[in-house]
Amino acid sequence: MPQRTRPAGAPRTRSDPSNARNFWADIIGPQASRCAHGVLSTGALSTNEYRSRTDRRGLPLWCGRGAEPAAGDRRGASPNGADWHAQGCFVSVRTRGRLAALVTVFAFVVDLIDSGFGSSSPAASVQIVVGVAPMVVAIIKWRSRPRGEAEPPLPGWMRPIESAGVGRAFGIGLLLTVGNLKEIGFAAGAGLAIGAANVTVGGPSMLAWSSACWPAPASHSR
Amino acid sequence: MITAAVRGSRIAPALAETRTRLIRNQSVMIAVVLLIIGSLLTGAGIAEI
Repeated sequence: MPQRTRPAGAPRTRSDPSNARNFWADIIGPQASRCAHGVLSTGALSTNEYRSRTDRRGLPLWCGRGAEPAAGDRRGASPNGADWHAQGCFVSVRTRGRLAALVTVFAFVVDLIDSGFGSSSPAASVQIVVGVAPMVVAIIKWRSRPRGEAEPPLPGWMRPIESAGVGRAFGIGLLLTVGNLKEIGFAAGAGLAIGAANVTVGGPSMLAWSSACWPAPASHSR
Repeated sequence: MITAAVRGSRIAPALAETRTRLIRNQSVMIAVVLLIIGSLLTGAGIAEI
């Protein structure tokens, strides 16, 4: 539970440092707020620089990550929430570890690209290419969607389910939950933004970014 | 194995209907997800430049 120092009824202001965390938590959610404070606490970026970069690059990605249902952190919870905390802890740690690893990998790659070219433009180009690719695939999928009343053919990725035994079902379940393909896109975007932000790779700043970006059980205690 | 067990049950017709809807709509769902992810990444890349 974040510290609430603002008097009841008083308006939130972005310029008041004591209210900054709650201000962002209300607007962009606890995940992005924690992410921002992880960077600030390491001294990697000044307050204004952090706000500028968060507004410009981080916010769209965190909006997308936040729009995703928090199924990974609340999956398996009982309706009355009795075991919500215990199960949420386990899944949240697993999710954060996986995504932090993905973010770190992409950040390393972009940092290497930036170092090699001495500019952030190549990294931005990579980010655009990584973004345009799924959009192209989306257009292709949309144009080839089943139409008419005829029985649509079974898509290739669903075909193995028809004849899946225990082993294959285990593999598919592992791929869909541990792999979670859609999160790779968000992790790529976050890693590219971090790598392009000239934050020291492997240092405390990177650790703060990676560990603070993802939801912790405490973030759901409100 | 699971398919064979379900095939003769009472829920088989409902499952068949669900399966048809899922097959019909999965490409639209995938397209929307990819479009959202792609637009977010592209926007972040453009903002970077």
